[in-house]
Amino acid sequence: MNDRADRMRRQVLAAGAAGLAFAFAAPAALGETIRHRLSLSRRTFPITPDPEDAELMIRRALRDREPSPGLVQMDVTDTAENGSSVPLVFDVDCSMAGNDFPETVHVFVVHNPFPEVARYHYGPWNGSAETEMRLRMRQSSEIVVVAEMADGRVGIGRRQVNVLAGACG
Amino acid sequence: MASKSRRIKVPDQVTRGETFLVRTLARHPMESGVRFSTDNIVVYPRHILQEVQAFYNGNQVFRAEWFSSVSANPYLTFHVKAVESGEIEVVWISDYNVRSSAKASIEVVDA
Repeated sequence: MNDRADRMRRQVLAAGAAGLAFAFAAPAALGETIRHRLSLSRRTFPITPDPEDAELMIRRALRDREPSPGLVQMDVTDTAENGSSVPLVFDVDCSMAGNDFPETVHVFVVHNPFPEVARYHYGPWNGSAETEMRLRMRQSSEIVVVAEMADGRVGIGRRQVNVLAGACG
Repeated sequence: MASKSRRIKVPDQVTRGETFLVRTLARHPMESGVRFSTDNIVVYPRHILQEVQAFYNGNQVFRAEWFSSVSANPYLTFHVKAVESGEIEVVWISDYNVRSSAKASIEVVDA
């Protein structure tokens, strides 16, 4: 990276930090991290990964509930050659009947600039919550899947994936 | 708007009450909004598909919210329980609110 680009990048990051300070001054009722609100808006600028912020987002998805073990099953490679397309298959161990289905499943990549990757919403009419997707990983990181069940239980699955060539950006 | 860049694949025939797999593929750059050119320091603006909805005979059966880290040309599969013959429609909505969709028909037979 050349010097001018670096200077500009630091300016933009400083502007981002100012925005961050403003966000923490804003009322807590907004309830989401600044990173998450940025990922919802179309604001774009260089942003560095922050695993602590990602863990905060995961805690917000869990909402202080104790995760049930074995609820979330993940099938993902241990070593991904190309970070721009990492296949992820996850399934939720439930009957998909009555109240026993996942209302929302969150997918996070801890070391990505925007850690929240996707949210999926299901109902009893799905028959199975098994879902496959492809995601981007900037560097070796943990993939976290959080399932929020309709009956209030939560499940969490974590898998470390080593990335040989990260997604550019 | 249905086009070659939005694809959906479902089995031709399924038994009533069974679960079938819906496979979808959209052709899209999914520009994450964090990449920037080192020559002129322009950040490529975010341009992604931010929502996917699936309808089975007009009833919504699945919804996905996508953010920056979904890969380019996103592939997505999910399951739906077969109730009656009809149509599966998947709608992708970009962050410019452009809707695009793909449809497939499915035949449900009694065992």
